[in-house]
Amino acid sequence: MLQNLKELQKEDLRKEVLALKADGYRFVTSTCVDLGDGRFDIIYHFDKDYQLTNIRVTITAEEKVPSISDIYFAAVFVENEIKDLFGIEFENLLIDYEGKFMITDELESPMRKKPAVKVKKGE
Amino acid sequence: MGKRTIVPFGPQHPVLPEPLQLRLVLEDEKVVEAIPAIGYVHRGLEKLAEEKDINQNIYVVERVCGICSFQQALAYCQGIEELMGIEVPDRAKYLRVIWAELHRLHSHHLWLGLLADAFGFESLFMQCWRNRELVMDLMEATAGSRVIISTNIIGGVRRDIDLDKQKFILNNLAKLEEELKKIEGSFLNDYTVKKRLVGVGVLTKQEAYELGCVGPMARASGIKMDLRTLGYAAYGELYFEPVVENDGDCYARLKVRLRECYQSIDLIRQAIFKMPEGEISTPVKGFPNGEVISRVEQPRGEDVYYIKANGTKNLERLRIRTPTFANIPALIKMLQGVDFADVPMLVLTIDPCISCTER
Repeated sequence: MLQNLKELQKEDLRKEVLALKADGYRFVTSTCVDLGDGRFDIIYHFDKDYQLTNIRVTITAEEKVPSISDIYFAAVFVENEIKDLFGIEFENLLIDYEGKFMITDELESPMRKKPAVKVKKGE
Repeated sequence: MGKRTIVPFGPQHPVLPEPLQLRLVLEDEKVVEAIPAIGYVHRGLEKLAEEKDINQNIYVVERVCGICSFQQALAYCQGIEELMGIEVPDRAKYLRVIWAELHRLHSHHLWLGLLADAFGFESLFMQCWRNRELVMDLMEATAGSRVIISTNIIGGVRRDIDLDKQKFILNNLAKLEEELKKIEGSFLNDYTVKKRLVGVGVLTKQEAYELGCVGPMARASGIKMDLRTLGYAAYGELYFEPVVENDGDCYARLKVRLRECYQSIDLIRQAIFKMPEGEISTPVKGFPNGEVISRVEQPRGEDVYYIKANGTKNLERLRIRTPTFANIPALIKMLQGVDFADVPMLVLTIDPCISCTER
């Protein structure tokens, strides 16, 4: 039930984002959702006059997503955060913190869904 | 070219009570570049929200930030209510406005005090925080606690505000307004205060929009954007205009927040006078399903909640984009080229909340 949702292939993402920028849209944020089967949704949220437009790109864990940080500078920190928390790689990230933005060296992709571990009594 | 030095500003710093680190690349006394590092107190609340059920999550999101805890819970509850098609009773909507504006008042007073402290005006800092106590008293009287008040529930609110308490609120607001007028002069007319703020960290309207600024930061640069005008809770029934200033400097950001204090006092009065009788919550059955985005105007600006539910008691994903996170790109741009001595002012005028950023 997301408003104005467009589902795109990752190859078409930058073209669409450039069009939105030319149309005067503000970058709100991006959301990464782990679908639990090795695929991830990256949803980009844009706003113009209080109207949200959302773009959804679905990728696999191994795929790289084209960065939009050169189009919207504000996306730099969101993309670095997604990289740190979900382990998703972005291509041509304007400033790449290389996994040190959230300083989570000891944790590997902590927001990814992991299979439940059953602990038996007494263990 | 002068000698280049890298100065680590924070994570522990006298003017910044919260652990944000900015690595400042200096050329003599000028900042050439600022590199932020966050994550010192990351609490993984988004992950925790996947483990807790939809009602427990209200308490989780309230802990995203103490100062705006009510608005965090409001954004979450409104999102779940939209997913489940719940119509909140009218009285609850007005009660939500009253508590939300009380939170804005105490947040802005806290910020005013911190700003005064940062430019070395100790007595003004004390005055602001003393005035804030008037708001904290209201919170305690109406909800039982001073900061995290936990009055929001899915389907309405948990507590009512009776006539006696409404009178108490109106009395305290009158006192607060009087006190605010007294300190306003020091903030707006004092020579040394102006010297520290006027013309410092100018952000044009175009820059603010392109960098995705929100809240008082955007409004101080001439962007008339306030999500309350969308009319959520009972804001649609109340009269107000977003507070806008055009200079885009630290002084403009101060003026926006000062004027917003008066606006909040006015909104609470309007809400008390217009509040209808009736129920304060509606029974909720079942669990949400689907995805939704819920947005509210927090003291610091636009708060965005993305909620994905699957028809069970747990959520698939809860994503929280807090206003400080949205304002950091603008801070980085603003810091380029300023004097090192102005860094504390600039960092403070975005009203940084690292607790929000590292939810």
